[in-house]
Amino acid sequence: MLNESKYHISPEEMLSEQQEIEAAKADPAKFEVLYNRYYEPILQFVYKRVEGKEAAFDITSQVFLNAMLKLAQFKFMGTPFSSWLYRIALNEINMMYRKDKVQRSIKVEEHELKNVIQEINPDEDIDAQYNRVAEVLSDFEEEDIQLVELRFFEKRAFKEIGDIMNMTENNAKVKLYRLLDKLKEQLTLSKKTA
Amino acid sequence: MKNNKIKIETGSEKLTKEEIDSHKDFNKVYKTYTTTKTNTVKSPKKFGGMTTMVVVTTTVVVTTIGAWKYWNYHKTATQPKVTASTSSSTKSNTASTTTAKSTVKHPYIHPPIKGVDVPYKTYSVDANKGGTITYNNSKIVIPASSFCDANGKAITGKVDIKYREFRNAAEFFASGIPMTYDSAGKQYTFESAGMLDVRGYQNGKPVYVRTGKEIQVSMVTTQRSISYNMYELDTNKQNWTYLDKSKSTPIATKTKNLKDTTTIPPAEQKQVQQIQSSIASIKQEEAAIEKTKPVEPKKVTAGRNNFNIDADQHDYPELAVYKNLLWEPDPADKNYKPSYAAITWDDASLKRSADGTTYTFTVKKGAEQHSFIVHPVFEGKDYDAAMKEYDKKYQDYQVAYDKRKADEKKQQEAYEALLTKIKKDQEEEQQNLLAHANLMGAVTNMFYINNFGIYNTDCPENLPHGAEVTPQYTDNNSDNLNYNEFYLVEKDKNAIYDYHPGHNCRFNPKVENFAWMITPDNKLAIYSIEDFSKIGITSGTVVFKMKVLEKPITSVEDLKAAFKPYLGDLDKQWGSARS
Repeated sequence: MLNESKYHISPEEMLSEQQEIEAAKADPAKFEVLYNRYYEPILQFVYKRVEGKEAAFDITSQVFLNAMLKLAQFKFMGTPFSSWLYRIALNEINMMYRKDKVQRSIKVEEHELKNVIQEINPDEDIDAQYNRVAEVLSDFEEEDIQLVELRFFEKRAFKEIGDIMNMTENNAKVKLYRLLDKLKEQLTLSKKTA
Repeated sequence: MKNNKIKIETGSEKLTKEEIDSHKDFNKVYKTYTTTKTNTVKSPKKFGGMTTMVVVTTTVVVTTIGAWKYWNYHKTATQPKVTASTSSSTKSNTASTTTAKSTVKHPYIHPPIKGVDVPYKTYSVDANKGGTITYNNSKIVIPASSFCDANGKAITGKVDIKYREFRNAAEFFASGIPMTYDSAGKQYTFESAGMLDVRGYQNGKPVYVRTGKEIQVSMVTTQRSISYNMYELDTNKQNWTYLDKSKSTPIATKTKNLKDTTTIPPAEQKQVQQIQSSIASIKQEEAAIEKTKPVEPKKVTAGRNNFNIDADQHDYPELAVYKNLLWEPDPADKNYKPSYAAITWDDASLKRSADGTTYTFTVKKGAEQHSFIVHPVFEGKDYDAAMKEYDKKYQDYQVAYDKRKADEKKQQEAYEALLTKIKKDQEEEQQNLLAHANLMGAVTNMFYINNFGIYNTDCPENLPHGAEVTPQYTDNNSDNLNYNEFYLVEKDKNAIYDYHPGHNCRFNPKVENFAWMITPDNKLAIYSIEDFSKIGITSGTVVFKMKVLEKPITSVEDLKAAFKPYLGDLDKQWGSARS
């Protein structure tokens, strides 16, 4: 089981943040507090998903500019502000890949990949499956791998995944477990053919 | 095989605290925000069943955007870019001599005549199967599984492809798509061999071309030169991006557009087949007649063996007419031995030679077998009767044979005449096509695109040389028309030179020039070729007294009709966008 998302914020924190957002809507200079809070998480989020640090810095700047330009449209509906920023970031990343037509890449920590293996085949030797999981994942569709990233690499809650990917929590769950079945099936297949 | 494999990297370099802090700069973001916000106007406009926000951006934003190199991936070439009228009216800017750029906010793509634009045609394509779209003479080939949504997820089901082309000055002008190209700080005007705009939607939402997929576009153009570059419009950078040289194929060399001399057209093919069939039939008849050619009777040779062979008359029709026929071995054939006459053979067969003059007789008994040449012979009165019959039959045979030969000759001559006619037609057709192609310089430009957007096959041109004058624009009543853009074309050149109010006007006095403006009430004000020819100076101030046409322009067709007396039929000159 995954632990509670480290990105989780309490209702009190959310409320306090909502006041900061409203203040930034009235005076964009007050967006700074939100920028300072989320700059590094967004940068890390972007950096994991693009190749090159400069690209990550540029996209992150764009994310915050877009957020400021669209802030008036943000309405507090129980969704953390951070999810809204991550969604903008994901859109920017997607747009960059669509434009540049370069091979999509994702940086993964060893333990993150092992999390996935632990989830699907806990009884099998993790090290033996390591390379095969990476290989099978690399063939996934973009949206699918984004789900895996958010859930297993970043340990986000389904609610937050749904918010970021613009889908319901339940849909995120269903899709992810279907993906795990697919991953398991592909791994079995690749094991047989290996 | 999936070709958009995702690269999974492990053990990548991490961002350091110093790197993060050095790039964390709210002031920079805030500054960009304030600049962008100040210069941005949003105007919603319905388009194709969806609402699209149009960002009206000034040049100030472009400069600022340049600070962040990655912003160029926001080019709207992948998005449906829809133009809208702005809140800043060009009408109110009367008689101003300041430049339009510093005072009027336009979207980058800005059709200059309200409500007039080159329409899209919409095609439904199965995203799974792909398909081929034919737009007049152009073909757009979409491979299977080419589309994804904004999140990169593959799209299935029907996708609406919206497509339009721009071929001539009227269409370039009406579209409002900028036809200038900035290269290394120098501005050029495009001479275009054709421009296209292609978009994809599903349920009103834009779709995108998947990584690794390419849409093939083949555009027929009548531009004389085949050395054109390919450009994609980047509305964010507000410039065209050079892609490649277009791969041009002169139509005259394309087999599919010429009659292949080895291929007979279907209508004539039928005639050819009929004649060929008739000739074949005659030849069969001739062969059958030849089989009945009677063999000239011979008398028996004294001292040689002869014998009777009971041959079936059906197998040897040429012998059927003879009675009391005998067979005699050929004296030159050493295979025959007189002793054979004494043997009772188990089996015997007779075979006529190919030329019909001799027969081979084969006899068998057990393992023993002999073959030798024999001739039919007659004795005494039988010979006389046989000769009589032979003369008669031979005459019949010859008549029938000659008739068939005459028929064959006739058919053969008809066949040759038909082939000659076909070949002549083909040569004439080929000459016509070549002449037409050479005259018009028609080529097919083929290229591949991996984004939806606007593409152009162009040749960047400098502004005209020869005359540079300070213009004063007036209408028929000498009322001031200095508030608007002045558009100039050279006849037979597919480029529009656009002069802002207050700027000098350059033109080449050695060619035929034609210019126009659009008045605030959508009327066309023209300065004709004849007007240009009367200018007489190459510098100083020139009053361009424009003739304002009575009816406002309400469509691209109106525009073409208004241009026609001066520039001719633009559709026929520059392609077949409106066939």
